[in-house]
Amino acid sequence: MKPSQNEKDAFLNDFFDAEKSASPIVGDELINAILDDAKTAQLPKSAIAPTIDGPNIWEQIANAFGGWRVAAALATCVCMGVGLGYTSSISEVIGTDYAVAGEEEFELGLSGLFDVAEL
Amino acid sequence: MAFDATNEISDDALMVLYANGDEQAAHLLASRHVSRVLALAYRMLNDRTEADDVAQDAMLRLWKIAPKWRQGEAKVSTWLYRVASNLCTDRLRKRRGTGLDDVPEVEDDAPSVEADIMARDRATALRNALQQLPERQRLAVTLRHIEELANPEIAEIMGISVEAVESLTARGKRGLAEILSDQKSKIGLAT
Repeated sequence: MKPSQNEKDAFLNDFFDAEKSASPIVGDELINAILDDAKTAQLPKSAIAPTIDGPNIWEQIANAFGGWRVAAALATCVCMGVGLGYTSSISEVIGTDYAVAGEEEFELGLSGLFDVAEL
Repeated sequence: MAFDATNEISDDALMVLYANGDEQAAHLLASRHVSRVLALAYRMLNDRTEADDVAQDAMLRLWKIAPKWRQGEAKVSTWLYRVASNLCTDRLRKRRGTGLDDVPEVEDDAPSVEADIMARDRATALRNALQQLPERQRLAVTLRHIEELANPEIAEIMGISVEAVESLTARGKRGLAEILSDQKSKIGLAT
């Protein structure tokens, strides 16, 4: 007759129990070697370099220009300068504006109301 | 560190203390874990000298990783079992490569009373039978039935699924039962 699963398990458990009680004992030599390794691997506090919490490269660049406020103002000025550089000239801009204003005066019938010669 | 409070300190905390230069933390970690690592290595390799080397190497790796240890990510014991089992696998592969896989049978001639002799014979027989199992089955059976770890932890150690652990332990036990049943008469077990 074949043994049942329980019988098989009980049979093996006897072996497992015997093996559990026969665990190897840690020798003094081994434990000393392990603790020596622990000392060697442990960095002395004096050997640990202190971390430097200084500004990073971008902060250093911004500081060189007088901080982020100055850098932001400078960047705004540069943008305005580039924008103005794209227009043909400053007088052309002003002339266009005056011409538009004159056309509006004519359309509203206001051109004769304030004749400079009559003043 | 107060000595009476040492049992309440978690392994994670001890790792931090060790990394910060506390020597007592190393003593405590070693006292908690070396015996388990050594037992696993001995059962895997069936060679005391090699098992000692594996235990020392595994602990050295623990000391080295201490400054980078991430608390709560893995248990120290699980991490150590994993490292030790990998070290054992490396050694078993080297043995195969150099034709040294035929490990001599363990013999224990120390005098003892009859019951002790029987228990020792059983332990020796089991250890020899374990050597005949494939490595993965041997590791799974050892961790499950001798080290008494839970299947999810074994799965983490071996880097496999829980189902795979169950399958390995079941096959391992079947294999052990077959090997050991042939030796019943030798080791004083009634059929």
